[in-house]
Amino acid sequence: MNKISLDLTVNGQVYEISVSPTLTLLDILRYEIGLTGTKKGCGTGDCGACTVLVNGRAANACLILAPDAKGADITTIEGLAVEGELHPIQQAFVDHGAIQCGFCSPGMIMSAADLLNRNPNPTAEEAKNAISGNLCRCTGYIKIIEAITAVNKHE
Amino acid sequence: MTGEELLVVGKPLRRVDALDKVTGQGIYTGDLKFPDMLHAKVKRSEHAHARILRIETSEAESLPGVIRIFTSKDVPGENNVGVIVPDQPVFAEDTVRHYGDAVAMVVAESEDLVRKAVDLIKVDYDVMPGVFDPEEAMLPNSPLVHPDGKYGNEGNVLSKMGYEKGDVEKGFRDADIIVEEEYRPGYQEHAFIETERCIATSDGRNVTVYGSLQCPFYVRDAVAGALGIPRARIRIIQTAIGGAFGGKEDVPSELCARAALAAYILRRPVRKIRSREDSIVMHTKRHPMIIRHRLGATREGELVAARVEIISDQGAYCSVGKYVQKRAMVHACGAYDIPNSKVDTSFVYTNNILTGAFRGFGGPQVAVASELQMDELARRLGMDPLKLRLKNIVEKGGITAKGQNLDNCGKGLRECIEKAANVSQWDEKRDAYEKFNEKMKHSSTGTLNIRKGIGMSSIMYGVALGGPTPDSATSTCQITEDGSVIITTGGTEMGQGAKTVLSQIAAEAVGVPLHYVTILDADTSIVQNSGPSVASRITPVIGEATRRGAKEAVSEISNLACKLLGVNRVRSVIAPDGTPFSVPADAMVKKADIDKFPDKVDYHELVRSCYGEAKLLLGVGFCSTPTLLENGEYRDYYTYSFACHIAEVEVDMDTGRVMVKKLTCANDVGKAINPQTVEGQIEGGAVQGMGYGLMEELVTLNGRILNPSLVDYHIPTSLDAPQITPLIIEEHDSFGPYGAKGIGEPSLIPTPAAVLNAVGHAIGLAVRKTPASPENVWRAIRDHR
Repeated sequence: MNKISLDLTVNGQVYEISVSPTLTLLDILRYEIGLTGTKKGCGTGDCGACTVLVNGRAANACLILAPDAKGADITTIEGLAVEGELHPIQQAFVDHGAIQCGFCSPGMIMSAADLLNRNPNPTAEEAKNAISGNLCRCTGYIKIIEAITAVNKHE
Repeated sequence: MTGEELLVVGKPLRRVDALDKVTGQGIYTGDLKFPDMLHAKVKRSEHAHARILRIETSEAESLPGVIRIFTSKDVPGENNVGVIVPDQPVFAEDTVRHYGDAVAMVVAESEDLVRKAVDLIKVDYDVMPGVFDPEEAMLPNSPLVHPDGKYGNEGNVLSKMGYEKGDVEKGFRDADIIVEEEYRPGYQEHAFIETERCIATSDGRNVTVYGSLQCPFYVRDAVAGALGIPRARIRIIQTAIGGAFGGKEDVPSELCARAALAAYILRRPVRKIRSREDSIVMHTKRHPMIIRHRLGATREGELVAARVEIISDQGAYCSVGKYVQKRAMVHACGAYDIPNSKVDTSFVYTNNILTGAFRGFGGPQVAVASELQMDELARRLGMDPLKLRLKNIVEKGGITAKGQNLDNCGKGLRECIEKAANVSQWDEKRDAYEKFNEKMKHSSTGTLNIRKGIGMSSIMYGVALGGPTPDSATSTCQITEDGSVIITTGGTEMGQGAKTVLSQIAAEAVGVPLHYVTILDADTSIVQNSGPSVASRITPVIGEATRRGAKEAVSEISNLACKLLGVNRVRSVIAPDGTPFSVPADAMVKKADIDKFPDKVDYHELVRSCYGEAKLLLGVGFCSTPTLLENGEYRDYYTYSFACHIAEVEVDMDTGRVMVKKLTCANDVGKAINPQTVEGQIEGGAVQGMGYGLMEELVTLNGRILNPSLVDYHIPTSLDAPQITPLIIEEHDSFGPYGAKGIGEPSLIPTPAAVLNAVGHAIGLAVRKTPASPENVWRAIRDHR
């Protein structure tokens, strides 16, 4: 199949790439650009491990084909920390023990970041809803929900 | 302030791998890239049971970019793997025995190509009748899965195991009440978010495999066998693991053997990543069981006899089935003092998906039966299930139902039950929910026909492998010139927090802050075989080996400190700025006052002096669990940990839908090395157990799995997660490091039964199979009407 060229912005950097139109954004990120922080758990949009921010909103990178990624502004887990300083949601995941095997964590954190961008002080119910498309098999979600709701609560 | 105060152990310190994992920097197998890397995928069987007549690969081979197609003929060594018996082929030879058998494997330049090429392989089969029900499989004229019986099987029965204690017939004659029911706990799929994967490289002589592996040494042995080369020429390196839960225990053996074969022959790196469908269709599942449970008691509720018969579907291959069987047998009667008990178990080959290790290892299934039996008995006696349990639990000094003298543990169970009951407000809620349900029965108003229930389950769990299986571990500790500490063990971090906990144990033993310690990833050419990372044994067994190794490594440092301070014993104090010091063991000095305290030596000076005097700062820790008794007999398990989980549910009587609202989970862990990771284990285990009890259902039809995806096989999402109160109980153990016992599995084992008992309380009927899905609950309600 003929390749298509597209440009997209990932973590603030512009990439011009030439890929097969059947390649997914997930594979572009992992294999073309080399950002392996975003994980693949199913490839069919069921698990949410590949969640990234596309134009500011959480989306499954495995469900976006290359042509649909044209011109998009993407943020991946690697782009969340600013100048080596963790994003508050990353810090909250560390502090609350919201991580076990870590394979769902990048996607989970991106979904949480999307929520916090829109709603800095979510309730537990809002947090649950925001990550309901991100499967985690280790934590039982409890500490993840604690971390998300604690981010902007300063005591 | 005594010299025994703990510096690092017992504190909820941040995980040592947390930073890597929140920033996306953690390296998992799929993140590795090698030049010239090839991709591989297997052609799965298209039948549950068939003879292979011909494998036609020419069309697939003709695709540009396809390098080679492998079949059983290409395996230079043993074409079989198996931890217990070598009954599972690397590639099916003349027969396929289930849909997950690999018939051939394509190796090609890209993942797209391997998918296409696999579809072009044509296999001619002579389809044979299969057997899909373990009870049918035991009948005389049933099709045979392994007809030659060379794995110790008689017909399809892989193994029978049982015991009798006391006089069961007399026990039942003396009983005032007998409860007899059948239970059917089902399959469970691990559903780790990262499917199985590995990358093999080879120069044609030596082989290295990187992978998502729970037990790298199992893989090493399987690869050595399949290639027919010595273990010393094989190096298995564990990367970060995206969840395992038993599903990456022996499963990677076949996967890695195939990838290693291709790399060894082609001399190029070969990557194998299972698709989600391949993963679910090919790897072991939790054993479904048919459990017939007969329980006798006096009018006062004292248990007098138990008779349990278990038939389990082993699927096509043994995997670790016989070990699961032993654990199921020992725990079949629950955590109770029952003078007369008899258990018989049969694990039976079928043409279904093979079954094997899954967190709990037979424990959750037998707990479903024994714990629902306790509630059934309570119901018939008109007794409170809590009181019935407290009356019958086995405690320290008592004898387990299987016959083990609990001389070294047993206080934790009562504490778990009482604490969980208090915190959950058992008495009040039991009463309140019954009143609520009574009211609802007579209420015609309102749109939702809801019932509420609260139920419990209490269990004991034999820690580690159990006698007479040898259970030992080795670990090394090296203190470097700058005082930092390197630990090697064969234990694996699969998300449970092993690296953090082992770091805390090592830091405590050496007397340094946590960040001084580095745990190397398991690499079979560097680390020792510490036994498998299973059976909740990392903290207690590998942790104890780590503690001993660290103590040995620091011994010269301690000796020097004693000499300099003129004392016989020293202890460590870590100053507020993080500097470790040695002080006399009986010195009454607090951390905050260490600056002004004169009798101290800086740890770093001690290390430098030791290096200056050419002292060895290396320790090898070894331990084996104390299962052997003085009389030459073995304990079933060297110790037990205990748990009581209480579930609260709401059931919609019109749809059968159950919502778990709350779980109160008391787990005895001996000593919480890191309370935060223990809580994480309890919460995660409880939700996984809730999934098993409530919603997870693997649907099979004549051996074919009909729902091999995460959209059709439902694991709990955040919306299903209930409120959880984890309660840590600590009954100090005399063997484990700082008193620790295991937590990985007992965090899950009681939950399914607790959920089912809560459903039973809500609807007034027992649901005796898993899951308590809307359909199963609705059917139970309808059948009763």
